[in-house]
Amino acid sequence: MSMYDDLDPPYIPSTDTAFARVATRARRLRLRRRVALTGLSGAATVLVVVLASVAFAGGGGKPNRVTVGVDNTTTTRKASTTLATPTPTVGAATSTTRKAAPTTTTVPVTVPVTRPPKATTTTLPPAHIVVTLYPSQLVIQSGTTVTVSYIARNSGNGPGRLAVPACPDNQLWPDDISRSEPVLWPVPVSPAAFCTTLARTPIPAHQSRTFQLKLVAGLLDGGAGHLIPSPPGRTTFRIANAKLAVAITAPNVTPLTVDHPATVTTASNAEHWVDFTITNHLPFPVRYVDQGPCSSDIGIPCEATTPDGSVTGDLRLPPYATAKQPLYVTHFLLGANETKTARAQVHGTTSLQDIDLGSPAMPPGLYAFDWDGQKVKFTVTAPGP
Amino acid sequence: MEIAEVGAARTNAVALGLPDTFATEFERLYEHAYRAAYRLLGVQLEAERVAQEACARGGARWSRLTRRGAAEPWVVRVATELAIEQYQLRQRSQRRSAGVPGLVERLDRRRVALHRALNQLPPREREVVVLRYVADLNEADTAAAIGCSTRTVNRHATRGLAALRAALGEEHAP
Repeated sequence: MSMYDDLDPPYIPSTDTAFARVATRARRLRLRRRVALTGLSGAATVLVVVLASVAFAGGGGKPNRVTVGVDNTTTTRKASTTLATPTPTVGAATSTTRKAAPTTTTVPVTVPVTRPPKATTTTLPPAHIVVTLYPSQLVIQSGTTVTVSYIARNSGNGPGRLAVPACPDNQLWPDDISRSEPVLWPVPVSPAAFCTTLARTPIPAHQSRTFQLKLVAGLLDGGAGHLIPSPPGRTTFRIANAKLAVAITAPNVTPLTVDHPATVTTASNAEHWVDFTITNHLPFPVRYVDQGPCSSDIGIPCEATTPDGSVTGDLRLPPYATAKQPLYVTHFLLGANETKTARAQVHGTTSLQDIDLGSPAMPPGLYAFDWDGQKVKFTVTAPGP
Repeated sequence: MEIAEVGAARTNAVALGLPDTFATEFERLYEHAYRAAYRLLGVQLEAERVAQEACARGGARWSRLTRRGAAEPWVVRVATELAIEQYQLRQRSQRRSAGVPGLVERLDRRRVALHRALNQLPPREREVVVLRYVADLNEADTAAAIGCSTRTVNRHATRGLAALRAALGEEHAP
């Protein structure tokens, strides 16, 4: 949980529209950079011209002899205009002196003219494919699978090709919960990859094709093939331009439960260890997502040790120097139907930030905090002697 | 016969000469950039534009960024910089139309206080504080985004956070 998550947007807008704009803009930026590169090589050419003018200054009379290395030519990169190596041109009144070194010739220099690159544009054939999903709304129970159909219709005058993610199972997960908030829910030990390749199907003009796809309300374990039922919630499944509003209902069996005391007491500016248990009700190993007994709403922090004892720290924060992601998405393993005991450290301070430097003490009193979705009465007593 | 790539928006990437990996990473990149921008701006349209521009700049130099392994931090960094610029631009335009209650005044007080406090930080500390605590990058990613060591990030973060708290006071302190 971030310290500024209260400033978060209410929802994330569709990335499909954004992607088209971004791709176009990125292409323009790339072209602009190519032009800039060409401009740089043009400047180098000008420099050669200036040197040559100085060398031949004086006009009339006997031409000065200038020794020009062949590698003085400027060659742009592949994306920009390429300058040909200047061909040594021997003037009528100029004699050519060949020396032992093969790369050195005495010549006047002819500098080729640099031309700006021509902008190329690609015109796409007038294919227009629209995808329609059936149904447009779906209610699915967590841990189950549903097959839905969609029709891709090409209403344009030219042939088109529909490109959609190619994967046997489309995994659903209420992302608005799991992305921004840690949830009391297991996740796969080795998450299966979401679709990374595209399947392309040609669709002639004024024709349509019907496809089917399988939706799975949960995440697949890539290593073992188990399906972790998803938390109940809402999400949107997207394919091409079509969207399917999905409501996921609770699974038959709650996959994970946490038992912890309903009351916790600690002295102001002190800490207190609390034992609690986590039980995996699924018949296969899972990873556990924990958020610890903390609540940003009332500013009561928490600290916990993972059951394997590997990490102790504020579960809302990354495990400091080594973690790539916050702890609540890296966490630890629970075996099939296993119950583990864990310990949480509740601090009688108002913050865990910079706790080593001394955080403000909580005033004695009666509070409450949210621990994995359950309210816990939290009593802070007067500081000890 | 020429066939157009139509349908999945991601195929535009290939058609426009962008790498496939950019298309697959786009959703995550965009969301991270959008969230960071929104936290700083509080206006959806502006945050979307900022996130799109940041992703486009990332896409334009994608291969170089992925070679460095710092694509996402880089894009998020650009998004936060653009968002701060956009916020300041909005403030200036509001000052010019003095007397008319502007968007800034209607925004969340906490966000306004945050910007005021960030303005008082030295540039490097501000950068680190924004990336670490507003954009939620971890130390390693923050270091990769601004091209320094995690130790330097920690130093700036500690100082910046302390200064931020002092500037924000109790009401809006993180």
